Amino acid sequence: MRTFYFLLIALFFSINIGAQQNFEEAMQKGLSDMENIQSLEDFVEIANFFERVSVAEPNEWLPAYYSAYVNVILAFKTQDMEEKKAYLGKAEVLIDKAMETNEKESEIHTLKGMYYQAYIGLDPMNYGQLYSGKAAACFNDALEYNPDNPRPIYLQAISVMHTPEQYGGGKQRACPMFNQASEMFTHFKPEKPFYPQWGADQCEQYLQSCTETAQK
Amino acid sequence: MNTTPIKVGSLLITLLIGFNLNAQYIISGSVYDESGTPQIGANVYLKGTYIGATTGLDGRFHLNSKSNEKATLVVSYIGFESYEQEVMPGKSDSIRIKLLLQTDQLEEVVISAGTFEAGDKKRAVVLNAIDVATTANSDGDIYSALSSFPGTQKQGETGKIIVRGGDSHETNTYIDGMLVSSPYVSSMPDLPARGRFSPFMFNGIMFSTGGYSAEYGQALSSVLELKTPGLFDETVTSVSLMNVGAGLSHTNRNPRSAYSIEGFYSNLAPFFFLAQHDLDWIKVPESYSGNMSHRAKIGKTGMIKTNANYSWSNSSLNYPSNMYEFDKVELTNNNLFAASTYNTELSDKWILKTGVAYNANTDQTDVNSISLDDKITTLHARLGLNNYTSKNITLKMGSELYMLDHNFNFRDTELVEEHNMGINSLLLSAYFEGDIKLTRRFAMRFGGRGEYSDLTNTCKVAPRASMAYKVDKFSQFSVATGIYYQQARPEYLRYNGSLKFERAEHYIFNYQYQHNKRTFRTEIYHKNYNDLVTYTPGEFAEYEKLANHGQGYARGVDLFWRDNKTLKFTDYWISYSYIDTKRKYKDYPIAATPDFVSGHNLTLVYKRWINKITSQVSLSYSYSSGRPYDNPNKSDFMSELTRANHDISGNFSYITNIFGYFTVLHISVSNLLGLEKIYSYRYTENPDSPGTFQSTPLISGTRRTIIIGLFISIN
Repeated sequence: MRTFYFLLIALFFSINIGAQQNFEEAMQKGLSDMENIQSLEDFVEIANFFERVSVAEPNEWLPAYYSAYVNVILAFKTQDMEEKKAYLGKAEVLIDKAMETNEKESEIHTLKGMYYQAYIGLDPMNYGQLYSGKAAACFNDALEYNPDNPRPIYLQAISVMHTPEQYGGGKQRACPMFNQASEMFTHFKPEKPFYPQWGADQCEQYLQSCTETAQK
Repeated sequence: MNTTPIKVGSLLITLLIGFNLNAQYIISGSVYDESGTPQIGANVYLKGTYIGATTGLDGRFHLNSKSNEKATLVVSYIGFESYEQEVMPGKSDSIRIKLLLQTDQLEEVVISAGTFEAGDKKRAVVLNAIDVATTANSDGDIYSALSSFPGTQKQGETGKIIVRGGDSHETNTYIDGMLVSSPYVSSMPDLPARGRFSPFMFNGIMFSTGGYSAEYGQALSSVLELKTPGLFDETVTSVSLMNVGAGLSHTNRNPRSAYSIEGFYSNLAPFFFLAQHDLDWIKVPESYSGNMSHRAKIGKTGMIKTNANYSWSNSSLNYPSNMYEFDKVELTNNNLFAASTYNTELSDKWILKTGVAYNANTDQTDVNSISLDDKITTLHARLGLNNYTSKNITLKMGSELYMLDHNFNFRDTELVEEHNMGINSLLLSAYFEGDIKLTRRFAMRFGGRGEYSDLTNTCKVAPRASMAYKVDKFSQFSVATGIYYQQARPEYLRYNGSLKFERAEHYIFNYQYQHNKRTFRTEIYHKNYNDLVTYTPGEFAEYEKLANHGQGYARGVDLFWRDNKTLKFTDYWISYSYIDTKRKYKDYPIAATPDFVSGHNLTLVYKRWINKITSQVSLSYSYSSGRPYDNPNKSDFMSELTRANHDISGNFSYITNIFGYFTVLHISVSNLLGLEKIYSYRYTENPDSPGTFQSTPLISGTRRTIIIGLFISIN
């Protein structure tokens, strides 16, 4: 009889562990797929994949976060204006969903800022006025929740880079920020497995273009 | 009971096999849109599981489930409504799924008769703070900027806006739903006032020129709703230096709370030095004002917003004796406005909106030997609930309390005379309204509002209704109607507390076309007025025989065209209004067009961004036809018209940086050509010896004026 209960309990646990394993496997699969993206369709598939995981695991913020992240990237990659807006609309829903359960997660605020940046990119004349303050506010909040997160600094640097000098932008102001972000990237350790790690390589590229101009 | 290990083992094996060697149950099908085109990239999955796939080139999907239990199949795809269906894995045939296009808010019908809305990110922006500041003839004043839109005109000598023939007090101003009872700064007789609040305090403006919802009451003609931002975006310190004053403000933001403080000192001496004017100031207008705002998030969806504004101002002027019975006037104003609102989601179906506002305004006027003290204190509280149970029906309900305390003191030091008058009134109201979307193209709104006044012990019910029909993606027709009540003004009530509500009926027909940053809008309206306050000018009191015997009508056409697309970096709009209105009210002997109404108003506004010099230039032209005035030498009342007025104004904003800080240099010139504007004529009290009353034109005190400002943001 004891064995029977023991086995049942073991079985129960194995199922539970299985669920946790499923989640970890799914995250592993999604993130490794993300590194091997070939085409726009692959982006769509990954966004869809993480969305499915986010629906199955309503208490985890990472799947919604990654699905939103890929949707923002899709908005940058596609050409059609309506499609871009549609991807951003999807991203917003997912970000808000992630934010609901994890309001204090710096990475989610960072992503929301990136979402506003993408919106500004659609029509800078109109959306610039509406959203540049909002993007800045998100990065501000992201740093408040985690001062060591390099991504808000890196994304802000990109904004500064693309802002004309007259409005307080330009390379001269952006490069020290890329430098700061790059420094922070080298020390950055994600809190837990699967936490966001992107941005370091792109930041280095920007930094390189900074040093190139400096040499000229 | 004795269970042998073998039995347990076999049970375990069965269980394990059950889990691992389960047959694969297949669900397959394809996804189409309404026209039958296969959809590539749709996300198809079983709810609550990791099982799912993305549709391929032919819109097909193929899922393997390890269970044959009933499951929910979900299809989600950008641009389409999400789809759900029960499935039996392995048992269903290939499923054919038709997705419905998501109804974009832009494409859906929106009730719009009478309303200009701005700041909503999904809809075309009609007017925002930057627009106000950069509209050439606005001088950064919200009300002046609104006068460049159809249906409105600015009364030159008071600076207040007139909406569709209604007196200026028939427009109510709200901040986040809370009533501002003294929205304009106090001004001397026949000198224009400005709005009390800077446009930069707000991130959205809703302006309704009629037919508004049951949420709003106690306004006969128009409602202006100003929306403040939630958490302020940035931590920033700003400095402003102008030829009308200087200010300093600081905003601080945290993820869950924010505050801002601002101080401003204004002195118009440099302004009048630069302006072309005929005013004989004893003391040029001077003022101090302070502003404090606080924001806090409460829980997941709640937000408390608090705004407080205090100002003190003083000025003194000599008036020409040929036009006025007085010569020296001194005015001191004290004003405090404080409001707090709390909005939150109670559940995913209910939203709670509450607020309290307090406004105290004191005008102390000294005219020769007479001293007047005019004090108005109001308290406004509201509690509203919105229900979103069904996707197509929104219910709004709520109640409001409005308390007014008015005190008027008159003292004559020469005659040693003193009068004290006052009223105290309490208004209670409740509203209920439903927005019903019958189809994607057809929407209706029905509502009503009950208003009770304890002063006059009257209770009125005001029904409201509107409908909108979307013809195609870009255009729609709307109609709106309703009954509107407003309590008589305190200056009348203090003589006769039993005056009833004044009453107006609105009928509005609207057509609107919006596409590609171009807007065309036209409105035809008819309004009937009843129970307007009438009086005879008293020998002892200001008003005698006060009663609600007045009536009148207003009808007209508004046209508006705005184009942000055709010319690069250019935004321009044309607004034209025609109005025909007559009223028998106040001390009018017969029904006549009031002296503040001009029949034809045309405004052209042009704005262009010049990238090379990082500047924005704006020019405006406005025309208003002559206004009626009464010539006591003629037997007919209000039978003469002034000549028409023209105005050309311009402004220029240069964006740069000083010590690396974002800086705007702003120059705004009103009435570039220095044209004389005649608003009306003033006649002598008594005729001279041949029996004629001598007239003097009432002209604008200032002609060409210049405002220069430097605004620096430090963050």
